[in-house]
Amino acid sequence: MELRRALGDKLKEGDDLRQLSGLLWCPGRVAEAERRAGEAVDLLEELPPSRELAAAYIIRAFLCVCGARGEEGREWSRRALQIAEPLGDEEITVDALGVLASIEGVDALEAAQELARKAGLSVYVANRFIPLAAMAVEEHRHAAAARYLEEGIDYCSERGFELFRLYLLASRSQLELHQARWAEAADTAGSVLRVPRSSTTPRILTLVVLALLRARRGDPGYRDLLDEAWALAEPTGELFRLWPVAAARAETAWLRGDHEAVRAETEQSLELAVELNRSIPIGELSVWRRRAGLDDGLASRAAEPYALELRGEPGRAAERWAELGSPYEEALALAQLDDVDALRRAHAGVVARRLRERGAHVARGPRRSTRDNPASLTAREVEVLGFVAEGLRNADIARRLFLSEKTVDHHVSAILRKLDVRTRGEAGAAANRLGLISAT
Amino acid sequence: MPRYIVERTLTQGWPLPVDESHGVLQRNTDEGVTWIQSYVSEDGTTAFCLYEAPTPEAIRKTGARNALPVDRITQVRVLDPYFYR
Repeated sequence: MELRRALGDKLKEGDDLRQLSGLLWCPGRVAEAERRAGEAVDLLEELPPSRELAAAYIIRAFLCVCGARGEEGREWSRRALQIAEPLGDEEITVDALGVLASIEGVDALEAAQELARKAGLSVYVANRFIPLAAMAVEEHRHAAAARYLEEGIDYCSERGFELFRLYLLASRSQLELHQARWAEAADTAGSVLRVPRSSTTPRILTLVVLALLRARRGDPGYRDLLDEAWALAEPTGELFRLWPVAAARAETAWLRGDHEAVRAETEQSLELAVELNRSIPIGELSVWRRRAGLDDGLASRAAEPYALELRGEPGRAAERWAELGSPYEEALALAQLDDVDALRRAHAGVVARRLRERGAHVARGPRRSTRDNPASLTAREVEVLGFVAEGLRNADIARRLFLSEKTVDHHVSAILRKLDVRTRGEAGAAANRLGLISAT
Repeated sequence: MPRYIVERTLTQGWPLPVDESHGVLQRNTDEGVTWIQSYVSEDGTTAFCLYEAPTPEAIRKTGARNALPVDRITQVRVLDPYFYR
């Protein structure tokens, strides 16, 4: 940039400032990124309208999106479009519309992605999967999240968008945690954390997933993970990086019964969430505070199902979580009920232990159906497993059970996944040990 | 590498048959898990197993693969009486 300045090349100097801003944002140096983006805009506005200026407006808009400042972000995106459209610059237009769409929501994002696809601009197609998946995960829309993630991860793998793929893998580990698919969540989170010098945001999110897994399973080592996540998130001041860590620290404090820590861990992020009016973080953070005996009176500003629990209806919140397919959240909401039958249903291990500590009569150990079938195989899968253990091929099993071979294939893959084994032989051995089938 | 005590409730009795234990040891190495020693209750229903492993997740994963239940994992350090002599 100094060389550009010496040459008096303001256009390129401004463009370098814009690129530097993006590079600074990624590892979380947000204040510096904002400053550089501002300098880029100031410098380029001295010159006639250019695609460089439009690109600088876009980075400002992007930083607003990350800071959850929607109105300001809209304004910068509009300015970028006002320049790009008369110039007939398709790439800048697609980029600006994409950033604007992250503010407007799912429909706009899908439209922006389609536009990028038609223009053959694969980087903007890939990039849009990130907010699409993140929103679906945050709102516990599991089916939509799974669809975006599957398509997005394939798309990014095929084209080598490694950084975007890490963001999507981080979202996938969150989805798996929400669905209580703990073994898969641990694998996915591990695959992100093994990448040396991976980007800050995916690392923060996966550290949180792994820490929650450890805390919920009663495993050691969750504090170090959360301390690292907080050290990465705190300097950014960005709500979307801060509140998952704050919520996780609140949950682990609650599991320890440390209500004062729940209050302290959530204070800063909740204040920011209220200022930016983000209903999901308001909901989750307020719920943790409520469970620790604090009432912030924020029910009307919180997203559902959190709002139900905040309004004193944990039973209905639990029903809603069950409909969404999030069993751990369901159990946590049920744990707020006084009714003993409901407490029995809150059988997630750690929740049950906490309830017992509070004197609730929660049955010890897994429920009978789960104990009979520890890998939670369906009746049909157990049947298929019996044949697999006898050494039958899929074609033979298909004939015996009057199923298509493809269906048997599906059952066998599900069995291998649930038993976490790689071969049919291992599946048979695991089945014998677990007592799922009678040894032959 | 960190060490962990893994508490297990055994349903199938202990010790494992020799041919199965080979598979167990093999699957442990896939995740970098080393079984060091176990203490088993007289009735063979409870085991306290000492492991070296990179993470608690690696222990859970090999536990599932080996169809060995995991009740509780505690990270531990050695404290030896000779230290006080």
